[in-house]
Amino acid sequence: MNDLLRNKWRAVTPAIMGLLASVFTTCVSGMVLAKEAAAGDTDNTEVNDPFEPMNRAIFSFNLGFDKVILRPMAVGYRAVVPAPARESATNFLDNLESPVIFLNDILQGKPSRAGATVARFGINTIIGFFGFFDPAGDMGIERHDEDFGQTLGAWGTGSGPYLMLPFLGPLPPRDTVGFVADIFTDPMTYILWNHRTANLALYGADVVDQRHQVIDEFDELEKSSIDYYAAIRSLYTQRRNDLIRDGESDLENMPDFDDDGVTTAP
Amino acid sequence: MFQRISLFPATLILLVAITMAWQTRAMVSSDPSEFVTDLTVQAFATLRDTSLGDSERFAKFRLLLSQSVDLPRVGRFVMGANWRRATPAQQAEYQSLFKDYIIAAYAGRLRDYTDAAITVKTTTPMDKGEYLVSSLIKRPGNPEPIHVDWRLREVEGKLLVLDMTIEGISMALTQRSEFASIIQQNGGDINVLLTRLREAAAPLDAGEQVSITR
Repeated sequence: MNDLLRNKWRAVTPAIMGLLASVFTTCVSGMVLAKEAAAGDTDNTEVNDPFEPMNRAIFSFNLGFDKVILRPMAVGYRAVVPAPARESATNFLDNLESPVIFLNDILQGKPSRAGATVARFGINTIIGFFGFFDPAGDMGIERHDEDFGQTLGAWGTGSGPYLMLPFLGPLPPRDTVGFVADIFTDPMTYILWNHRTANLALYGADVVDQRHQVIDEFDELEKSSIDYYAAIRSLYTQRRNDLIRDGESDLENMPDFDDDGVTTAP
Repeated sequence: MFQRISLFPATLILLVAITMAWQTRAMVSSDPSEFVTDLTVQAFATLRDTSLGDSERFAKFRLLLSQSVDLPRVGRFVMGANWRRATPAQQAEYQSLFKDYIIAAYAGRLRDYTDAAITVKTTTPMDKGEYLVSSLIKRPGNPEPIHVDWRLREVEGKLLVLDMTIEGISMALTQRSEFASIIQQNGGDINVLLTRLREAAAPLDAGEQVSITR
């Protein structure tokens, strides 16, 4: 279920970028507004969602869009395309992400992870037929995920207030900034700048690829949720924090199971 | 006479065997890493056991979980600050509904991994007799293993699960956030949560949540 939250939507046409620019401005003002509320928001139990009514409305819209368009496409894709072909498509799309991952490895000062990204890109592009296969993974150089939102988090930037964007899903200010930065630092954006059809096709492929990987997980989650909106919000926040920590267990901020909400802690 | 002599070593062997079996049992329940491996292996085996009907499978899984998870404590934690606001009757009903709900939730989460292999990476002791057991769950045909952390606490010499964290997502924290939200969305009415829990637990009674077929 995590892959959908990875925000690797990448190839976006200049037209959509205009829309994003306006969203971006809104977000920055939102970020300033909620700066004090965001102080120390690493605690997973704290909910920072001042725009909840608006977010819930957009969430319902996104859910409708998913039910009518996105999920059926993903289900159809899974039904029609055999598993090895789908896996190759995932590998190919993942490989295209390497430059952005590499850049953020470097920005976070993690040379060994940056080295792994370069090695993966080289091996998978050459031996893995332009990234359709993942021989690097078989050699034990496993894939890892980075984006500029994570880099900002690693630098100590709080996520800011939770924000649900139409079509795009949860993108609090920090991750919206990261999302836009990822587009502009992705070589594919420039390679396909004048090829709108190819650009849209790649974008669509990426969305369907990611959605189809988590069909069962999200079905299950929706079925077992008491409040689906709150579940997704908690999930997104926790997952992003986990990615920022590069998957290390957060021993410092473990929830206290003797805490029934009325602690006397300072 | 011959028979009498041979009986002694046989008895001795039996005694040793029983003692060893007893010790192994004790070891399993007090070693956090083995506890987790044991629990998941049993849970996966139960969930994919086609020799059982849906309701039998569910009953077995339910028994396994109610023995291995500190349900009252987790229930109280997940309720958060609303616990104190609830009447004793609401608290009692909540705990009973929560038990059904969390067993269904665990079954649902674990069902995707029933053919998977678990490897324990590290065990970190923490305060209050707690342990964090870090494990990797690898599914056949899926190269990327899933990182699952198990939060355990030793209560009266017995290990119990407090939480399961999949790729950084804690079940207890997610539920705590959901429960607080549903109560808050309904003007602080705790009965709304109880109604929702009852609805969520309903298909469970039919064994639906632990069925293998999707």
